Amino acid sequence: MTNKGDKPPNEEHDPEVSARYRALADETTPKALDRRVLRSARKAVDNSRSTGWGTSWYRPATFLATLGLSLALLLEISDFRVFDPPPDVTLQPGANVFQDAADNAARSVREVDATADESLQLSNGGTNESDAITTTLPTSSATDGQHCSDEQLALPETWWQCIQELRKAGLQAAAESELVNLHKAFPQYMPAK
Amino acid sequence: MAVVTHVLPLGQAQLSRYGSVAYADQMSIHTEDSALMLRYKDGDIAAFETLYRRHKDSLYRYLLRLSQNRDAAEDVFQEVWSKIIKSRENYRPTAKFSTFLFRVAHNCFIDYIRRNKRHTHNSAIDPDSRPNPGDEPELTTEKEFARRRMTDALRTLPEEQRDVFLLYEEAGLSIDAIATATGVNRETTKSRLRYAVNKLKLALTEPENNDDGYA
Repeated sequence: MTNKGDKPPNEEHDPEVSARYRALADETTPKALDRRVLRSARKAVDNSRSTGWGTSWYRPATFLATLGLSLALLLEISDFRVFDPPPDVTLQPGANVFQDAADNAARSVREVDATADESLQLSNGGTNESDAITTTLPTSSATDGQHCSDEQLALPETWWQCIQELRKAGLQAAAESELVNLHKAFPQYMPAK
Repeated sequence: MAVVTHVLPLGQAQLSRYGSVAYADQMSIHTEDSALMLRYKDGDIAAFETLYRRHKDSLYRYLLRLSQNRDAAEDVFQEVWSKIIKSRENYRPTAKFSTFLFRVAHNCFIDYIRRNKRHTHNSAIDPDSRPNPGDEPELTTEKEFARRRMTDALRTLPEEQRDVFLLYEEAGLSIDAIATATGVNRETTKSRLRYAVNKLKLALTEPENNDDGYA
């Protein structure tokens, strides 16, 4: 409350009204209200202290964690070389792509023709047994060096039987090739005499 | 501790206080209030307790007279101090602490009125007019009767005029500070205070009315 006489004299101020008001305005705050306010003030300071301690280490820790993760990621990326760089497919000046493709196609045709000739020879000059062999031998496998079917290659006995049939058919080179492969695949196998 | 270097605007100081001694005392209090608030900002509970004791009764009376309802006054009182406590981190001593405090109080009371539409100036809930059966003999005393007359006279004032009068008498704010606290211009503040004082003077000088049975 203001003291009497500390305001300038003006038309808004009436000393009598002011004095009568001040004489009667003597209420004070309830004690319970004082306790509540002071308790909340104390609590606010305590909370800010605990929060202040929390933020004092929180920022540096966050910075260090971010820095560490960034470095780890950088190192991981620099060591992570799984794939080789792609080959250089740029065309050299003067290279003829179409000519290379044509050469490859002609080579394939020649190989197919050779296989067809061999099959034709078997069908024309062979016996009934050779006909059976022709049907069992895969024509496409001749080009790969395999003269027996996959079913025959599954067991050493059937593989050996295939070699015998090749010999009977006069395909000695193929029979020898298959024999070598048989020894490689089944070194312990001894054909029955 | 932070150093308070705030200086009141010259016009405001001249309006609110005259005389070098009073001016110096008020500046000292002002500086002390701001310094206490800054100390509390730094975690000094004792500073807040000093500040609280210095202003609590005038703030309480302001809200009590303004609301004419003890429960409302206590609710708003607590809310005001909660806001002061929360605002300590951002507190800057750019104005008198009492101006700051009562501006918060004024705004809190306005918010309270908006939240509680049922709030009415009902004399039945006025603590000053509510007769306590145990105190019946005391109500006949001259002081109690004078208190009742003042309370009744205040109740007849429009809320804006009562607000300005209480800020002037109870909070000790200057015209300019009241204008700042209530968000109106200086002339409006002066006008409201002048009307309030004249109405109170008239009400207090009227012949005593004993119809209420307390005389």
